[in-house]
Amino acid sequence: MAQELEIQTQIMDDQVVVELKGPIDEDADFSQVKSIEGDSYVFDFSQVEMINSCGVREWISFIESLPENANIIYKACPQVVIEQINMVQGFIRKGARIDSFYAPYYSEEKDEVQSVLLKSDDILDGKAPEKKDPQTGEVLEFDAIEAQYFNFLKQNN
Amino acid sequence: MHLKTNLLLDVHEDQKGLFDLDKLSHQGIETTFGGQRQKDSYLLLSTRSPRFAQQLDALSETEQKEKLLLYSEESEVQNVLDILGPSNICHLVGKGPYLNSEIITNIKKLEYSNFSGIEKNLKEDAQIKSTHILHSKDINDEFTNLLNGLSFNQFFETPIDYLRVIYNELATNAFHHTEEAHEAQRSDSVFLSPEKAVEVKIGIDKERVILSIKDQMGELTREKVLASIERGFKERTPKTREKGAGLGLYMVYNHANQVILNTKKNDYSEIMAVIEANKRYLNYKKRVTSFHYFECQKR
Repeated sequence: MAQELEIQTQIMDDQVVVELKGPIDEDADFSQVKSIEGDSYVFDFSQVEMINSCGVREWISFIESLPENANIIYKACPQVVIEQINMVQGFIRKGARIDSFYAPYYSEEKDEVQSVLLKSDDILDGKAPEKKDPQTGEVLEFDAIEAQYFNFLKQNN
Repeated sequence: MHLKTNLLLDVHEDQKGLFDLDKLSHQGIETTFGGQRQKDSYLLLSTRSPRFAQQLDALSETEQKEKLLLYSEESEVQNVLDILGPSNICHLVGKGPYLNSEIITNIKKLEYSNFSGIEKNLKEDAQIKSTHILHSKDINDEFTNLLNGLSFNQFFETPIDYLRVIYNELATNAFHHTEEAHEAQRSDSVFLSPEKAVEVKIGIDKERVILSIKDQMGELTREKVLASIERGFKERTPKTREKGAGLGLYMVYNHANQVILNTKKNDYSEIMAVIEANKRYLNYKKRVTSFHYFECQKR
């Protein structure tokens, strides 16, 4: 596991794309991102391994420091990050949205839970979309409580 | 030493099937449903019992702490804010797949006044690893070392992710509540002498994985821990003016299936977090978190 958060940034089509890798904790340093002026920020959480309570605080402080009218998108949020988001207010700033995230689906045939990438736009009326096992075609069962797991979508709006 | 004690189950009619009286009896716990509680017997009282309030009132403060197991199927927020917070109840057993094992383990610990250590919460064939940490910046590396060689095949896909958060919160707290960390910010290094090292254990058997973080200070109390968890449920935002964010124990409570606090004043505090084995993430989340507090009085 990376000892400290690694941040890679690039500018793509007027968007500041930020890849985050490792733990978001009390040592997280976002100054590299703050120094880039942009209208739109896309944060890729796919390689974030953990966010602790101090990391939540650092993140909220950082995200609040971005320009007020900036477009902010979170993508590929791991399950554990979604859980933290659901537990804490302020992680998703007003106007920010989660574009995509991982969710648990259960395969009865394989007796295992799979982490499936979902788009927020695919969640209609708080219901998980149907997903199939890529190898067997088995229809998988959404393996969380929808109202709880998708609670962050209310903050999205 | 063979256990011999009595347990009165005062539960709702439709909850009776949850209890394996034969299994309890085999472990020396003679169990009855309803009726009058005998002196010195344990009481497992359900929040859905028609006699809930009456039974609680009949118990002395000491009996509530030492002889009562409260069984709850309520939500986490109700358990913390409406039950544990306003009371001095020390044992809340949440609805879960290993209910009878949990009852047996905790009654044994109470009967023998033998609380500390994850071994008491694990089967005899459990795999256990331990380490002592002297430097706060070694916390994450030590977690990786502890996990080496452990198999989580009987769990849903991602228990390690939740163990990592739990471990980080508890270990960081253990370092930053020492005298050595008095002036330190959370991002600062804290070094402890060997006799004050934070002791970490992880144990796994076919039914559960347990993480134990033990300090050598003994300043934690039931009230301090619950106050912090309560704040998390009420505020759901980080503190901004203090060293810690005030959400760590709240996160631990939400991620663990059981939270167990063993303390000996001015000697040690041990917090254990249990995640129970099951292949479904849904069942992991549906499990109502148990809370157990043990205070060692022995000299």
